[in-house]
Amino acid sequence: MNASVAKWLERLVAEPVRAVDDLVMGRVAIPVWSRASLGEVFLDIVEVQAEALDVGVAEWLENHLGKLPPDGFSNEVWGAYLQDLFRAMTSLSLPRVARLMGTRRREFQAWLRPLVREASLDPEAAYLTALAWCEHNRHLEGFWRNLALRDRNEPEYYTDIGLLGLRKPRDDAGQLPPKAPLLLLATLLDMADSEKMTQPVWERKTRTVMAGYRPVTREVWIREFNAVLTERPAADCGMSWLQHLLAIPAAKVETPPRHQGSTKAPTLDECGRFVDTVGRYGPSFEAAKLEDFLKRHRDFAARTNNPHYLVRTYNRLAVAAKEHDPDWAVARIEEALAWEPGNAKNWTVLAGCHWARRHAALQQQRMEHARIAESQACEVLWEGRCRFPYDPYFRNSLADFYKNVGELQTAEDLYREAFAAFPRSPVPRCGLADVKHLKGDVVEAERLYRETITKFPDDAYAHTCLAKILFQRSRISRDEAERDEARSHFQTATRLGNTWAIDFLNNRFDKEWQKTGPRKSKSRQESEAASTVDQLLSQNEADMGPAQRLGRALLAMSQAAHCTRDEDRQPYLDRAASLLSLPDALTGEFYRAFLESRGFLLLARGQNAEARDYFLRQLELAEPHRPAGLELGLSEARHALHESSEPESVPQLPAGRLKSLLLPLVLQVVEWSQTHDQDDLLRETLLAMFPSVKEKLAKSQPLDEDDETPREESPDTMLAGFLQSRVFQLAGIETEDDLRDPGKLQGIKNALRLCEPDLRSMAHSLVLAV
Amino acid sequence: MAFQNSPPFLQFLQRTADSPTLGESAPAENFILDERVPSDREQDFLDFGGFVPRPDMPVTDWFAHQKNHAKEHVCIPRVSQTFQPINSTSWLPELKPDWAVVRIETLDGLCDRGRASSTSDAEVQRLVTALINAKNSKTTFDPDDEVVLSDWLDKVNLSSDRRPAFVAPFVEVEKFLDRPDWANRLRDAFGLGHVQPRSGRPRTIVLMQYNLERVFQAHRRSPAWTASPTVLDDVPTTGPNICFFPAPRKSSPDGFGFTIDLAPEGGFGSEFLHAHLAYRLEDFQRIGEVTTEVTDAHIAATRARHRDLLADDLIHLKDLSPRP
Repeated sequence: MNASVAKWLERLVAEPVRAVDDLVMGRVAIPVWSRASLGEVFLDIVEVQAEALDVGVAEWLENHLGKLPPDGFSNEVWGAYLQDLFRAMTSLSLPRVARLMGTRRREFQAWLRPLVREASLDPEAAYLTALAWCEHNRHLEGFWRNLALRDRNEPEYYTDIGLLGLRKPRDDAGQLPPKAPLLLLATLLDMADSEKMTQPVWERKTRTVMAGYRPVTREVWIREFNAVLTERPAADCGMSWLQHLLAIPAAKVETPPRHQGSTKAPTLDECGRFVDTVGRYGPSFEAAKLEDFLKRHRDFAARTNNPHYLVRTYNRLAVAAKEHDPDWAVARIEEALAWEPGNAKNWTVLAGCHWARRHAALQQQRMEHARIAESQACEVLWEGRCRFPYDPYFRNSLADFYKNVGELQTAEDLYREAFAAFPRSPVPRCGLADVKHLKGDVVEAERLYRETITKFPDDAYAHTCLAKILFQRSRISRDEAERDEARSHFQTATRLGNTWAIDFLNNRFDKEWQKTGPRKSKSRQESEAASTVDQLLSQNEADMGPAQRLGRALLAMSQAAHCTRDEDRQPYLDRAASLLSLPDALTGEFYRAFLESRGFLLLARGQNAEARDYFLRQLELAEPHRPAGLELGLSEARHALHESSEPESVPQLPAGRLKSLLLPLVLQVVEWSQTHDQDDLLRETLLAMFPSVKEKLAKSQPLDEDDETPREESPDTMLAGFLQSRVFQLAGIETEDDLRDPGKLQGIKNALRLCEPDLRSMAHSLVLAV
Repeated sequence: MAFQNSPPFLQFLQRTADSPTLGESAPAENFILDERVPSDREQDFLDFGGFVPRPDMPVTDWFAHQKNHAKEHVCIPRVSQTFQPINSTSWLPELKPDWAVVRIETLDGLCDRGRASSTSDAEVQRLVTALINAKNSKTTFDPDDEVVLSDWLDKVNLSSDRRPAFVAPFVEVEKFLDRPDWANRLRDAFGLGHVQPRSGRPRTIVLMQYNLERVFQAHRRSPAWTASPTVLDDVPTTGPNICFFPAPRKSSPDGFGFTIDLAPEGGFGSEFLHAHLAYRLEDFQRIGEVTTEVTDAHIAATRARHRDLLADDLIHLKDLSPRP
């Protein structure tokens, strides 16, 4: 063996991490490897010191994961080094590295995403490729499917990584499947029906997959694909392209009806029973049966490419299991998330599971674990807020979190923001009232509950909370009129089904009122309870993850927009600037959103020319892409500078990340409402928009209890609700004829002016959503 | 210049050139002798990334610095520094794009770039062999094999960085291709000392051959597309290449570099750099196995012979200590 290689190998055994560090960074003199790729070098090493290499690389990765590049390294060079490393370990058997990559996938992706530049410099793709090959890639099928379908508008070459992952799923014994997995075939068919695919490209990819399973015959493929086609009768291009590829006569493609018992799909009753059992006894009780049940869900999802039941059941199981075995719960909800990262519920459940982990760690006195779990729960909620700014449930969950940990000011800020963005929802109003109550401002709390009841007379929670305030006060003051009013609200809440109100009214109301003497008010009790929560949560910016920093920065900018005086605005903007100053390499999946927000901050500071130049520069760097946030920012900057007031200056927000039809129209309406010479265009746009607003409103209506159709939450439903409450209702617009009434146009313009700061911060949140 | 403008770095290089370790002395010697590095590029290297050369700095600091610099300026940018105006004195503007050129790739190295394909290294080897056999026997390459190999090659191309490619004119190596040990002989002729058997098993290489016209067409809008190699065009993994030796202008007025031929009977052949090129299936000409090892002592002896051949033309030779 070459002397310099032998010397380095000795060092690898003695100091694995330092030896790997020197190798990766090029701080070694080994001529025989000087022109070899790191992959070739690793092939040499695993022949003699595989275990030491495994230890060294795993620890090296752990030391660097989520951290900035070392001093003196640009993001590009650091990205290139990491890309080399992931490529080098691909297809090698390094169990520790494999486990690390498999269990911390989202952290790896968030770490590498800001370092991606293009296909030839994409450490994230290199990592995912390595993960697809490695022995610890179980239960990622949903993730690979989404990657192959490029659900999040990933670059085209990610399709191949997704297909690679689907070809290499390991079973629990680490073995590869003997034949093409059904989900691989199903995904190929779904790819055909994706807008992003053309027939020649699809045929080539499918042929490549099929050729990899030779000597499987054409007849076998027809049979295998038929099994998948039966589950997707709506496959259009998938069916016809497959017929073309395999030269199948149309009559030979069988499409029997779905669900003939072959899918072995778990029934809803079974789901209910397992959720109940897990909730009572934990997931280790009847573990084998439970594993089989989970497997049937996976098989069903793989066969049908329909993860709805898997996600829903795993979601329920995670909730049921989190108090017994939070790690198992996290694993299930992560699996559900891999299938449906765009499902907001998955994120709230994940946060809940991390919170349960924290609780378990606290009970075991493992403070560091508790701190990590708490910060994970917090970061997941902020991440959800940034991903789903249009989801009122999520926005309130985040505020609830801060309320529950006793951070009342943050909770109040978040409720206020949600209150402005979701005027048709009683939840943030009640949340804000709760916070006021906890802070001891009972008068303001009472006012807010009363206001909520006026606007939402069927909100049982508001009735209950108001009743509690009235009851406590009357018990001390012995004011019987107030007591009766409290009783009346409890009765209403009871009629509306609030179980706490039912219990209190029936069993405790009269007894408690009879008790005399001062009592701790509920608000004080709650305040004290909150203050006794172990507050591991730190407000130190350095400890915040990128989602939290971004979310807080947007919150601060939104608060600044509501200030009328410069001196009031400045501290908020300074806070936002500080939060947004996170180095790019640490911005994770929010890299683009940070870039865009920094431009919006310039706009908020009134530095319009700088903002315009900034957005132009960033757009140039982002080419050939045209990120929606940059487009919107540039449009706003130009408008502020009066550089273009033509109707054509409407920001042409690209579809991609922004799934909203209304936003560009709303922004245009806001711009035109500020001038006097665009009234005709303003009316025309309002008329064009109005039916969509009504339609979206209908979709977001609260449902009947028996109706299982999910209520739609989207940027459009959010905007529609906002426009209805804050603009149309105020201006007295009920029909399209009202819009044609010249007398009502001024009312619309006034309403738009009043809500402009909220509209703009909503727009920013929506375009920045991942 | 060859770093004579930076006394601390020159002193460091001179000290390192006297090192008994070939992996240290050879690169230092190359840096001192390489007269083709333009002054601005030399300065760019010295100023990069807060590098402060000291006569007594550890050699590994320099190696790490060179790797970082090469990654940043040679590998990553769409137009490598090699073909940017800062390196214009090393360009080869007279070169006509109608040459056939050849290049050696290790199969491991190609597979390392093609990992996004699910095709195993052994299968790639089988497919490349089948492709070349089909070409030589003028038979049809199996369409299924073709689709798999094309897919793999697409991935190789996609993940290749932008580093310039070392190539040699086909006419200069054609004579070696009829030999049964052509793989060993070409490895020697190109001075690829790092291509050696692994644990006694032969190392598989492929010979790529194509026309420069393709490179020219792909980069006709770039400032340049061919250049003479310098020490700063090397993209090292674990220290600079010890089998490189800078070609003096006087010996090579047309601007080509010279390979260090590791064969006992070898002299030196021409080599130069061209800008990044995506391979096609038709570029695969041969697949073979390198079976012989190359020791550091052999490389040292060959370097010494090479240096002696060029001694009169190396204008900075005086900056090196006299050989004992």
